[in-house]
This record gives sequence, structure tokens and C-alpha cells, in this order.
Amino acid sequence: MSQEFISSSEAAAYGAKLARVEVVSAYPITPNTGVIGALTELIETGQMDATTVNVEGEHSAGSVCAGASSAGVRAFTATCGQGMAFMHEVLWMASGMALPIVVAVTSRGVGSPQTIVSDLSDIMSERDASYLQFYTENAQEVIDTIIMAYKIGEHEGVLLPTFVCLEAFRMTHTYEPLDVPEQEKVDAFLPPYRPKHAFYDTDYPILQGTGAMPEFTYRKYQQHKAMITAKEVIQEACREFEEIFGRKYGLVDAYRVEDAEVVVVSMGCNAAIARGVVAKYRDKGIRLGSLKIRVFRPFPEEEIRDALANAKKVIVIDRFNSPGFHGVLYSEIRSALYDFKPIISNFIIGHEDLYSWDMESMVDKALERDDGFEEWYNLFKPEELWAKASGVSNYDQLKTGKEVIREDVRGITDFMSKGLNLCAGCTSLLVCRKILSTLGKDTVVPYATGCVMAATSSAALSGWKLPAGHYCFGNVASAASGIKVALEKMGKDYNVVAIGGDGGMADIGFQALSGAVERGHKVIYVCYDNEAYMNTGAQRSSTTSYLAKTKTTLKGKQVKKKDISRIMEAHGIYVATALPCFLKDMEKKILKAKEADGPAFLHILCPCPTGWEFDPALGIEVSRLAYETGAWVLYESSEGKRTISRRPKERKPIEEYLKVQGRFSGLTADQIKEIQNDVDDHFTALINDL
Amino acid sequence: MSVELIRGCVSHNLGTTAINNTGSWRIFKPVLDNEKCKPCAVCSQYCPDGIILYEKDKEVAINYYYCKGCGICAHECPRDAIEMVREGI
Repeated sequence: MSQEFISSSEAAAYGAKLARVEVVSAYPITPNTGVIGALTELIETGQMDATTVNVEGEHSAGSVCAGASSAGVRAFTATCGQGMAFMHEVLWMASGMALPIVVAVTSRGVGSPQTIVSDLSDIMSERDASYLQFYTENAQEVIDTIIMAYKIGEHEGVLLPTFVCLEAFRMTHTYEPLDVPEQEKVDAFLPPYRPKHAFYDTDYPILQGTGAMPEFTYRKYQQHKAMITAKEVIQEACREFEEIFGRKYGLVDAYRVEDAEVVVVSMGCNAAIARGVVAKYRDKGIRLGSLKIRVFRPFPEEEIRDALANAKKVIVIDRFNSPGFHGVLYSEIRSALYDFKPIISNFIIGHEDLYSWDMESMVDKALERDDGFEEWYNLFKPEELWAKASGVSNYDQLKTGKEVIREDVRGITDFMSKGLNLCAGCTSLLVCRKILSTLGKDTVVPYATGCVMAATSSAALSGWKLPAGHYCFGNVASAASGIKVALEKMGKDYNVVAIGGDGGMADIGFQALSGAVERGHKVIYVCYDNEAYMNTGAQRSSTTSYLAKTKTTLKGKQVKKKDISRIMEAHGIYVATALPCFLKDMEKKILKAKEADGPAFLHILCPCPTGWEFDPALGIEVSRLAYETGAWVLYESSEGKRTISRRPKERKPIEEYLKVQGRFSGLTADQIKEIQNDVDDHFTALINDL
Repeated sequence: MSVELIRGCVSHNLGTTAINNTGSWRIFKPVLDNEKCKPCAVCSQYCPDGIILYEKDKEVAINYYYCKGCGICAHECPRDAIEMVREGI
């Protein structure tokens, strides 16, 4: 057994490694990127024998896992928040197909408002997806639970997928010492996955994913039965785990409840705080206990009833509320205890951090009162948000609902605000600024999730000076088409410019983009292409250059860049490529896009000093080098006719472009030659194939 | 005082990031040499943060409250009129 000092994110990766997972698939979303980063490192350094599939969206991440599991291997993914919501359909599919995958859920809130804060709205929204659900409280429990999850899920009487919840930031970004179980012991505990129900073998062909008309409810009944069976299987696995590894787990974790009059019921890392508070109150002579619900599905009803049989008061701490009813855990606990009739109080804390003194004040309140009550504890105060923006806010007008007095926007030429929290030297910001100042005041800007969104979209501190709206990551093009149609209906002749990064346009947003363009809405779609998921810390995207290093391609990306502009050309619309170093050229193209008959697509390379690893002063220089070496070709295309806007008299060797960027460091001469050949081919193809 | 946030993830406060003092991020400060500078607007148009003011026949002005010190202006200046100077800590 080795001691490590790691975060829960890394613990999840170690858990998957020890469980000998063979296929990993994920899509970058904060804060799950730590899990994927750690897995990539384990795999690329040869410590883990698995294949990672870096996909273009969570729907695909789930599908890759389900596909791999259905073929007969052990598969793992991690997601949270919006991503988990996007994976929803696939999650239900995997449980229905009895595929025992494990999903590490770094749970965060689901928007709007879009957020990265820790909250259980993502995982609780999947409460009924027929997944075994474990809520962990520290890195040790994460690693142990992931190993156990495969054992339980793959049991022949269960065959269900599992969620292992590790709370955003409180766990994913918290470092703790833990014991890493030995591989031989894990192998003894967890035998290789040899499915008898779902696999692909041409000697014994089977069909998977059958439909159901008459037997639909029977299938659901089977899942329910499997869940009920799982209760016993979980306890059995916990007993065996304790024998081998010496750590004890169960369906619930009851602490000093035997004689407790008041019991705090919680999940995840709040339980650790609860135990501390219990110890303190016991010293004061108050009979307090703590009950952690470790397994939420199957719901351990008997164990909860046993633990709370003597409690006169129960305090339930919820991190997610079902709007229009109560906290989700509260409802479940009340239902389990209906005939005991203790006084149950419900504190809904959502994402708010909880400290021991908070919990003490909750306990004090519950001790004082003789009725069950509900309280949204320590709720955020709107005044504080606006206090932040004091001096520039029109909060008073908002508060009273009177007409908002605001800066006169007529005569302004710069429609992006100052003071944006984007990196120094961000060329994407320069590009957005240029687009808006060219299009002018009568413009509406729907924009996709990404760097620009993160820097401009706070309620108190907004970065736009014209009508703008953020929707989701993958739907900016569809939202833009809805906006355009509505504006036309109202007779408002505005420009609609949909802005997205390479993720929002070429990856997760590609389906929406292609659909909206095909429908012919007159919208300008702009892809600011910084060649990776920069907002989540530089993970590869489909437009990442060949051999470029990112967090998910440590040895360089092994496949070529997706040529999104040529794909858009095939839609028969106005397409133009641009570079930040040629602003006049960009301006001309923006105006042409504005005047185009139908949709227009602008593809703009935006060198990213942070992700590409170059001096922030060189942003424009790098884009110039992209032009001079032919790594980026400036052209326009409309109705299938392509014209090259300008071309260097003599192309510089590609090495000039590569050598200034850290992401291309360590390339061998052969690799540089290979890139040079690619660039040559691409350049010639674009110039000749007119 | 009990107040409510306006419903629906809406902000009527546009342009309010302007209170962020992004100039505090700066390590190197762009210093303009007015002798060398023949105002041409190159620095102004390439500044990602849009905080270099250029008006015809006037001296170029840098708004240090926002300037993050990326150095693009100094690198792009055709007359080398901008020097990046390390600031005191």
C-alpha cells in the first residue's frame, strides 16, 4: 500500500486505473478536467493500459463508454453540470442496456444561470436514471468506491451503471493524504469483466438495444429489481472490501445515533462536518448524532429507519431543492420515517459553503423549535452583488422597477467593455471587439460557452454594450436562428452575430451550426478558433493542430485539424477566413457577411498565449506567421466559388510558426517535415481546388 | 432590506466590467516615447483590450487602469516607440 497526497479528481483517476478500466471517454467541463487530466497522464506515461477517447460533447462521451461497455470492456467517464444534462439521454440508455459503466460526477449546478459552483442539481436530476448512486466525502472514499462500483455494478444480479459523486471544488480541488490500494489486492477483489449478457462476438452474434412496446414497463421492473438486489450486493462488497483493505463502508454511515435525540442527516463532505459538530455537542451533554446517506440509490430505507428509530428531531441538509416542493433528501427521509413522525427540519444550502459554525447554528435552531421547518440557509444577498458594481450600477432603478437610466449607446464604437477578465494578449477579445465595432449598434449577439462567455456574463459585471445573450455550449447557432426569426416577425432589422469558439462551433455546436445554416437564417456565425478548450485549461478540440500538445494530448495530437471552413463551404454559403493581424481584411469580410443574402460563416484563427504557450506580446506576430507560412490561408467563398484574399509571395518554412509556440516544443525533424508536407498539401488544395 | 434579483438571469447593467482594475495584473508597463511616435493607430487597433486611445493629430494615450501589459502594442509599433518597462512590486 502506498501513501499519496492527491485530490479527489486524481483519486477518481487512480480508482479507474486500479479497476483496470480499458476505455475512458470524456469531454472537458470544469471541474471534471482534473479527473481527465490525471487519467491522460496515467495513460500517456504507460502507467495505465487504457484508451482515452476525447470526444466533441458529453452526449458522445457517454455514448463511447456505453459502446465500449456493450462490446465487453470496462469503461469510465466523468462529467457534471450542463454536461451531465447533455448526457441525459445516453445515461438512461446505458442503464436500460444494463451496461455497468462508472461515471464520476464532479457535481455542480445546472443552469441557467450557468455556473461552476458545487451543487447537486446535476446528479439529482438523474435520480431516476436507474444508476447506483454513491456520495463520497473524501479522496480515500472516492478511490475505494470506484473500485467497489465496478464489482457491484457488474454483479450478475445487478448489471447497473454507477454514479460516484465527488463534490465540485470542495473535493475535486482539495488535496488529501490517502492510501492507494495495491494492484494485486484490487485484482483479487475485482476480477476481470467477462459479461455474459452484453458483448460483441462474431462466433456468438447478439443484438443490443432492442426496442420495447409490450414489455417496456417489465424492463423498468427488471431495473427496479436489480436496484433492490444491489442493496445486498453493496453490503456484501463492503464486507469483502473491509476484509481485504481494512476500511469499512456501508449503505449509510451512522455516527453516535444509537442514543441520539437529534440527528443531522447529510450527504457527501457535509457529513464530515456533522461528525465534528456531534462530538462537540456530546461534550456539552446534548445527545446529537450524524447519519450520512452514502448510497442514495438504491435508497437504504431500512438502515435509515433503524438509525433514526429513536430520534425525536431530525435535521436534513439538502444541497438541491425540488422547485415547488422540498429538498430532495428531505422528501426521501420524511417518506422513510412517515410512521415514526419525528420533527424533521430541512435546511437547503445549495452551493453555499458550510462550516462547522453554520451547522451548529442549524442544530441550535432545530433544538429551540418544536416544529419542523424549512430554511434556505445563508442565502445570498442580492445587495452584495450590486455593491460589487457600485458606482456603475443602476441597481436602484432595477430595485424599484423604474425605467433604467443608462449610458447612451449612440455614438459608441467599441461595444465590448473594458476590464474584461480575459488573459493579457487575448486575440479572441480583439476579434470580438472588431466584429462588433464593424457591425455597429443594431446588432444582437448570442454567444456560446467559452473564454469570452466566462469573462462577460456576470449579472453584476457584464462585458457587453449591446444586446447579447448566452444560451448553452452547443446550441448557439440554433438560439441565434430563433432570435433572427423572432426579430423578423417584430420587424426589427438587426444583425444577428453568433459567436462561438472552436468547441461551440466545430465540436459540440457543430450539429446546431450545420442545421441553422442549412435552414438559411440570415445570421453571421463567427468561430474564433483558438484550437483547443482554453476556458477549461487547454484540452484538445477537433480543430487542434496536428502534433500540438494539450492537456489531453500530452504527446501531441495524433490526428489532423478538422477543416471547419471547408465543411461550411459545402453548405453553399458565404464563408471567409480571417486573421487578427489583417484587421482591414477582416473588416471587409465582416461587412460582406452582413450584406450576404443568407447565412455567413467567418472562421478566424485566434492565437492564444496561454494555451499555445507563447509570449503574450506575440499574438499578432503568431497570426502573421500563420499567414506567412501558409498554416492559415486567407480566402473567401460564396456559392461554391473560392477566391484567395491574399497570399504570401514566398511561404516561410512552417518551423518559423511552430518554434515560437510551446505547444509544439520537442518536435523531431521528421515531424516538422510531416507538418510542412501537410501545410503544403492544404495550401495547394485550397488554391487549386477553386 | 429585502430585495429581489431581477428574474431570468438578466443583467441590465451593460459594460460594468469597466470597474475591474485589470491594470493591477501588469508586470511590464508600455511606456510611449512621444518623440518617436508619429501617431499611426497601429497600437490602438491591435490592443486586445481597446484601451489605447488614438485620435488624429493628438498624442496617443494608454489607459493604465486597464492595461494588462501584454506588450502587443510595443511589439507591433512600426517605430519602436513603445518600451515595456518592469514595474515596481
